[in-house]
Parts: sequence; C-alpha cells; structure tokens
Amino acid sequence: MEDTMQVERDRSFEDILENNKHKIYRLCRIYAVSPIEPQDLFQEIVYEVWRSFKSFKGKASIDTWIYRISLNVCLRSKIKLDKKNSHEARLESIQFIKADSEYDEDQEDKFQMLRSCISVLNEVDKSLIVLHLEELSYKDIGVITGLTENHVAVKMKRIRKKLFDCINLKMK
Amino acid sequence: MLEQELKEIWQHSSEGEQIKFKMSKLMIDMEARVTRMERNIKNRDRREIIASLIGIPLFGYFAYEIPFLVTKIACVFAVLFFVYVIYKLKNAQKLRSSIDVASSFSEQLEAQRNYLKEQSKLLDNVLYWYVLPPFIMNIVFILGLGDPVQFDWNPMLLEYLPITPKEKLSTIIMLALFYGFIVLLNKSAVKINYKPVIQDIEQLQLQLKSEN
Repeated sequence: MEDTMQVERDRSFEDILENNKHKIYRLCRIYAVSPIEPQDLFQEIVYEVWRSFKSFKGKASIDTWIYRISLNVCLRSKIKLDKKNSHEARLESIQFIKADSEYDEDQEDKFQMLRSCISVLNEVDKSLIVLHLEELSYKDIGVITGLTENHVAVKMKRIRKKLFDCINLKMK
Repeated sequence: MLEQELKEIWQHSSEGEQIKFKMSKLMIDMEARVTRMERNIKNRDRREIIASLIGIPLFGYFAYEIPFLVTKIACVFAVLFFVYVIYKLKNAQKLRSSIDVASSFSEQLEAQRNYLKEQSKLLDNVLYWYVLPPFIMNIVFILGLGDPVQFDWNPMLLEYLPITPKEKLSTIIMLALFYGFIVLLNKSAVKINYKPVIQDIEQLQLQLKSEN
C-alpha cells in the first residue's frame, strides 16, 4: 500500500516537473547571475519543489505554488542566503540539451534585449514583470507576492512604462 | 514593440534548451540530498548540545567533590547555565524550521528577516548570554578555591586546579583572552554574514511596500 502511494507521489511529482519545467527555466534565466548558472538555480528549485511537495495540500493552485517556490529560491540566491547550496554539484538526473530547431538567433537577441531591460529593474519590480510576462492575472501575482490586487495594478503601470521606455530606447 | 510581442519573446525564451529528467535517478538524488541536509543539521546541533551536556555532570561532580562553598555555588550556577544554553539553541532551531519556501514572497521575506535578526542578535549579544556568565562563574570558581590542606582534601583533580594566587591570576588572564576571542569572532560574523543580508531583505520589503 505504501509502495503504491510512493509510486503515485513520484508520478505526480514527475508530472509537475514536466508541466512546469519551461516556466521555471525562464525565471532561472532572469535571476541567474554569474557564477550561478540558470541550470544551478533550476536544480535548486527542483529540490525545493520536491521538499515542499510532501506538504502541498492543494489549497493553492499548482501554478501559484510553483511560482512562489521558484521566486523565493531565485531571490534567496540573489541575497546570498544560499551560499552552501550554490556549491551543490550538478545532478546527472537533470539534463540540459541545446535545442537544434526552431529557436533561432533572432529570438535569442530579442530575449537578450528584454532580459537587459528587466535586469535594470529592482528585485521586486523584476519579479512582478516576470509574473506578468508569464500571463498571470494581477490577482494571482498578488497571491504569489503577498500584495493586494490594487497594489499590483499600481506598481505594474509604472513598471510597464519603465520596461517599454528601455526597450524603445534599445530599438532605436 | 507591443506587449503581446514581449510576452511571446518571453514565452519562447525557454525553447533554446531541452530539459530532460532521468526520473528514477532524480528521486534517488533528491532523497539523498534531503538525508544529507538533515544529517548535517542534526550533527551540528548535536555537537553544540553535547558540549553543554558534558558540562552538566562535570560541574555537578565538581559541586559534589570540591569542599569550598563559594566554588560549590559557582558549579551549581555553571550547571544552570548549561541548561540555559541548551534551551537557547533548541529555541533557535524551532524558529529556523518555521520558514516555508512555498509561502508568499512577502511572508517569506518577513520570516527570513525575523530568523536572521534573531540569529544576529544571538551572536551580537554573545558577550552577555554566552561569555560573561561562564567567565564570572569561572572567576568565582577560581577565587573560591581555598587551601586544600585545611580541608584535608587531596583528590586527583587537585593538580589541575589553580591554587596559588599566581596560578589563579594567569588562569583568569588566559580565560579572559579566550572569551575575548569568542566575542570578536561572533561580532565579525554578524558584521560580515548577517548585517548585509538583513539590509538586502529590508530593502526588498521597502520596495514591495512602496507604491512606486
């Protein structure tokens, strides 16, 4: 009986990872600053998802839960709370392979432009715009950050302006 | 550029890399890391608590064995002090385990800040709760040691105790240097490891609260 439960647990953990790996990786690409690589942050988030999965009761949606963990881990790495964890060896069980199709250099250039404009924002603004680009509603962003929906809306108006000013400047 | 375009660029940004999991191996890696982390924390706590647990019977024995009243009182206070240290360490552990990585960003920041402030306060005040009490007890213990001949007291541990004024003075000086070193070590840990991180967290909290 316990074995069956364990298999089910592993199965749903696998589903969660498969369904959310790209959104986690997108956040990692923004928050990883040398010497920490996006792959290191990704591994750290997978570990925290695994650890928290035992206590996940499904009160929040999986999406909200994943974003909360991912953002918290990313920010912890920023404020150097995880000195020890940044020395964790890369796991062979998570593989990153360069995609050989579709994603071209032009797209990467555009992303780098977006990334550089996001990187000049302060940490809180950065996390809000990233969640907005993930197409989350202000309500969901509020649940993840702990802000009210109105507060998110007020902040987003200003952050969007900053971001577009920066992008327009870069495109000139 | 339109906002929708930005969202598309963002959504496609993870397509440059394929992410694959070797699931059965990943489960083993995750379990191994949880076990390793728990073991490290347990070992560290165990070390700190064992040091205090050794002190309790040791000074209990001194209180029973040594005939000088003032030294006896110092030994009893030493035992009480070790109990207090264990309580302090256990309390700090409870606070640490209450940080939930799946909580909201603002709750997480608050919990981290509280934990770090508590830890930082603990280290910053080490002089008052960890250094001065045992140092004063050591001084009382040493000064309380009288003439063993008068009490017809001649146990094995006598040769390790400072009996003459010169021995007492040099022991007190050595202890003062040792405890001074502990205070400096902890103060520098607060300055280097804790204060900058607490400032970063408070900065983030301000950014979060501000309307701008």
